[in-house]
Amino acid sequence: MSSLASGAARGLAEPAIDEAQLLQRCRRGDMTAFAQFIARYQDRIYNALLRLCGNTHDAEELSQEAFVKAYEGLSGFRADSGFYTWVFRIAVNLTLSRRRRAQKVKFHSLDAPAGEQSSEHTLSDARQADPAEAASRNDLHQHVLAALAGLDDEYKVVVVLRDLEGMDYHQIGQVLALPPGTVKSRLFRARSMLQQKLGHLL
Amino acid sequence: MADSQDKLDQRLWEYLDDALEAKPRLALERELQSNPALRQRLEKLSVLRGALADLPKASAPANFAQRVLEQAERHGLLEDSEHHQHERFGWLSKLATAAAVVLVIGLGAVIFHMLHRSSYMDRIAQHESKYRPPMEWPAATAPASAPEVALAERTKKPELAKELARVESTLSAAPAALAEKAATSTNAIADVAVAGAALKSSPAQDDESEPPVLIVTSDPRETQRDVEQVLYANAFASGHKLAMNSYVIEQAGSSQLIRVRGDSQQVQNVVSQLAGLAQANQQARGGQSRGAAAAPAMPGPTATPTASNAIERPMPRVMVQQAQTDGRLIVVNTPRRTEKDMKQTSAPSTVPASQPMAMAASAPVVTTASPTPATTSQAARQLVITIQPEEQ
Repeated sequence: MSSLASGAARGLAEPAIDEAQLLQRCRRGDMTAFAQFIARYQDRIYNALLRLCGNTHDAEELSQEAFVKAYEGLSGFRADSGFYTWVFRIAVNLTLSRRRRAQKVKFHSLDAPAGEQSSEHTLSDARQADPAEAASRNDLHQHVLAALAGLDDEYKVVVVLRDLEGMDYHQIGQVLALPPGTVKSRLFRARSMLQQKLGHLL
Repeated sequence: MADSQDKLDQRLWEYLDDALEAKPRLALERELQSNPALRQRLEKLSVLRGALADLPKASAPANFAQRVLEQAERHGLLEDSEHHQHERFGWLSKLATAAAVVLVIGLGAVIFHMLHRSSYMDRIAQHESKYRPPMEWPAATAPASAPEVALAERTKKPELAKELARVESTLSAAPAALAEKAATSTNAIADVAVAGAALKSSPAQDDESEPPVLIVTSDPRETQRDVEQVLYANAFASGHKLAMNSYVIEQAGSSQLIRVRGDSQQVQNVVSQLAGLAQANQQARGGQSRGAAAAPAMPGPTATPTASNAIERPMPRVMVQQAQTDGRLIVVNTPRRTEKDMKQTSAPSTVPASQPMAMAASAPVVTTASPTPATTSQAARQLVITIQPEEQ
C-alpha cells in the first residue's frame, strides 16, 4: 500500500467533522478527508449494492468503483444534494448500467445455496438468544431476499433505497433521477409484488 | 374494488413512510381509529416493511477504504503519467501539426504551380532564350519540345490567337513583290525601315484600320514583343514550327542583338515580311507620314522636317541594314526623339548594305553585334537579326 493511501486510511480514526469541510478538503486533494467520506458511507453503499446484485464480490467491486468515480468527479459535484446521495447515485447507476450492458454483474438467486454470502460481511444479530427463533428469522430473511431478488431492477432499487436504506421519496428521486410521483408509484408496485410473494409468510 | 384497495394501500404505505401531509395523515389516523379492518391492513403492510428493514446489514469488507484509496491513487498516478506524457510529447504534437501545415501549404503551392505551369514554362523558355547559346532548330517532324508545347499552349489563348490572326491577315495582304524587293534591295530595306519607324510614330498608328504589325521601339521589351508577333505569324503562315528559343534578343551595350535560328528560307521570310509589312504600312500612310518619319540618318528617300510638322512627338526611327559579308540583318532602332531633335541632328552615317538578302540567308552565323553609330545625341539601339541556317 502506498504511503498516501495508508496515511489517508489512518485518517479514518479522526473525529467526524462537517461534511462541507470534508468536501472542501477533498477538492484540495486531501486523501485523508476522502478516506473519512469512505468510512462514513462504505457500509451503506456496500449493503445496498449487495442487495441489488446479490453478490459480495460484485458488490465490493462496484462499491470501490463508485467511490473512485466519486473522487474523480469531486470537481463537478455541485453539492445541491448530499454527498451520500450523490455517491449512491453513482453506485446505483454503475450497477444498473453494467447489468444492462454486459451482464458482467451476475445476479445470484438468493433461493440457491448461499455460498456467495459471506458471513463475515453480514452483521450477526447477537441479540437473538433463542436458536429456534434465530433460525426462523433467518428463514424469513432468505425468503424476503429471494423475493426481492426476483423483482425487476427498477422495482428492486426503489425498495432497497426506501426500506433498506431509509431514503425518502425525494432522495430516491435524486438518486434515480425520477420525479417523486414515479418513485411513489414504483414503490407501491414493488411492495405489492413482494406482498404477493411473501403474503403466506407474513 | 381493486382500484379502491390499491388507493387505500397506497395511502397506508405513504402513512408508514411518513410521506403524508399533516391534514391527510390526521384524517387517516381518525379513520384508523374507527376502522378495524383498515388497522389490520396497516399492520400487514407494516410486517412486510419490518421484514425488509430487518434484513441483516452487510458491512464492507475489511480494508475497503484502503483499497479504494489505493485504487484512486493509482488512477491519480495514471492521470499524472498521462499528463506528463502529454507534456513530454506536447512539443512533438505541435511539431507534427506544424509539419502538417507546411505540407498542406507545400501541396497547395505545387498545385498552384501545376495550374500555372504553362505561363511558367513560357517564362522559363524566354529566360533560356536570353541566356543560353542557340540550340539546334527543331525539325518539323521532331517531337514537340517543352518550349514548343509552351508556345502551342500560348497560342491557345484567345487574345493571342486573335492577335496572331490579325497579324497573319496583314501578312497575307503584304505585296509579295515588296517582300521580294526587300530581300534584294538594300534601298528597299532602308525604306522599309523608315516606314517601320513611321508606323510607330505615326498618328495613324492609333487608327484601328492601321495594321499594327511592326512596332519597333526603343524599349527592348516592346521590340521583343513585336518581333515575337512577326516571328510567330511567319511561322504560322509558312507552316514551320517556331520554338520559343528560336531567337535571342541580347542587350549589347546600347544595341540589341536579335539572333534568329532557323533555315535560311524561314529567316528570309521573316525579314521580307518585316520589310513588306512596313512598306505596305508606309504606302497606306502615304507620303506625308513618310516624309515626317524619314530621318536624315536613313539612306534612301528622306524628307526634311518643316516648321509646320515639327511637333513635340516621339519619333523612333528604324533602319534595316543588310551587312555585306557576315549576313547579318542590322536593324537600327534609335531612341525616341522629337522632330526638334531631328532638326538639330546632322545626317548620321549608317553602313549601307549592298548585298542582297538572298546572300544573307545563306550566310554563316554571326553572334556579335556590330556597333552602329548613334544618329542622335541619344544612344542608338541596334537590332541585329542573325541568320542561322538549319543545316548548321
